[in-house]
Amino acid sequence: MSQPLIWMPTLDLRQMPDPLATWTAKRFLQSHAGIGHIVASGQSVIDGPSIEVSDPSPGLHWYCTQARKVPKKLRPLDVSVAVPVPTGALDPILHVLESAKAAGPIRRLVLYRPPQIALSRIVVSINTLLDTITPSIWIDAASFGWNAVSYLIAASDQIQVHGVSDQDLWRLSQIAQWLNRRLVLQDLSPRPPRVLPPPLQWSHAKDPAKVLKTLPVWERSR
Amino acid sequence: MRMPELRAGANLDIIPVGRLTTTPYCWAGCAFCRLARPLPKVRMTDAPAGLTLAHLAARGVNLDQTAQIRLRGGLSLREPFDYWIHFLRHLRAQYQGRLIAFSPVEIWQFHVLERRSLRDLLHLLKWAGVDLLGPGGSETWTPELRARWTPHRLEPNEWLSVAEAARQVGLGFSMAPIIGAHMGETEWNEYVAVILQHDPQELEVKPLNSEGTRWAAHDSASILETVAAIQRLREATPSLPLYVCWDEQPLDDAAAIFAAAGADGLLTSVWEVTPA
Repeated sequence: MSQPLIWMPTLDLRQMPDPLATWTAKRFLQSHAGIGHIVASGQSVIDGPSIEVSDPSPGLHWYCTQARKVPKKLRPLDVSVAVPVPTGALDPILHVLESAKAAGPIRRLVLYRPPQIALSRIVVSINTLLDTITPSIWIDAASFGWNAVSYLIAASDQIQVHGVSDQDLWRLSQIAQWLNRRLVLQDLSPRPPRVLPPPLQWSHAKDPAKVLKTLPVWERSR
Repeated sequence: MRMPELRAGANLDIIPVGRLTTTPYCWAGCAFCRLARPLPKVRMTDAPAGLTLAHLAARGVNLDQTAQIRLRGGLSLREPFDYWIHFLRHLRAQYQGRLIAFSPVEIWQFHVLERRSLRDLLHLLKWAGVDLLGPGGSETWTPELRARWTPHRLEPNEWLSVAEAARQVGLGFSMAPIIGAHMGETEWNEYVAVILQHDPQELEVKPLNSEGTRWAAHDSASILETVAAIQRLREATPSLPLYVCWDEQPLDDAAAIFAAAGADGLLTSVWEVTPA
């Protein structure tokens, strides 16, 4: 059976003041059975099983969005890189990837889609990245759009979807069902994933007479 | 499922379509259709008047913005066939693009109600400037599925009679499966067999949009189901023009994916006029 699709609820607290962030993170984890991924700014006071921080800190996973030199005493760090899809060999985004690689192993690569870039071009870039940088890639649902997300997931087992909100879980669930793949709730902690049930199936009305009765009397003559 | 490989610059034609609905009321009550809500406690003959040219003028639609205009029912008993012939004749005088009007479903109703021959009705449609009959009524050919979807519509042999008559008068007809979870292997095989046997002028793929219909509890069709349907139809009919009805924006990704799957064009609505 092919790789399961992962639903990783993600909470971004980088812009939120600490007292509110702590409360929000707690509620977020409570509402997802304790499984969820949190992105915070610097040295965080938040307690959670799966956390990344945007400023490199010892012992914490680094969420890298721009090129930055990491001091030697902090290396090696586990790194997640979140960048737009590079569109050529000279793209400055490749420097971000190089600097992240210098800080430690790239554990996760999250790609955003720049506007006005054709899907065919993105596919070429993603395939190149899969061959050269990392064996799996996360694509951002909001910027890629669900048509592109559906296509890319169906085309490759190595692609997962990032930033799927609770409201859009049904879309992921529908795709998983169509591709006959399991859907699991998981974060970056070593805890085992939780398998999510397939969406409810409503049986189609089998009895034509039942359909007939839904019409007014004078329309049943045919 | 094997996804088609995208090719740079291989997007298909995006065809802007103007849609006209003769009346929002319909007695047929097909499960997948938004017109499937008959007026409660009002006879169809008491239904409000249908579409007029004044509706188009009031909406201020730009006819030249579209590559084709499609006129569809509501099966209402209100306006006679000749009213629509005059309507189409006026429309044709103002519009040079492709005009697709009615489907065998509406033609059969006029045939039964007004006791006029199919050939007469279709000749008149052609005289009014119609280029092609729409695909309405060709959603399914499996008796079980038909009983669940469209139990009150015309029978398959009646549909084919109209289609054949249309071919004889030089009108042509199209067919359109509705894509969704209901299309199993049996339904597909049946559909492809009918296409091969009756050779329509073109094919359309309509993903089920269950929102606002009696089937709202079912999921609408996904893009992956649509791609699989296009691949299947393209394999069965390599040379038949194949269009996809798709209104979900943005269109670029869908167009690239459908082109790779083998579709020839993407029909997207730019305006729709329905009488209140």
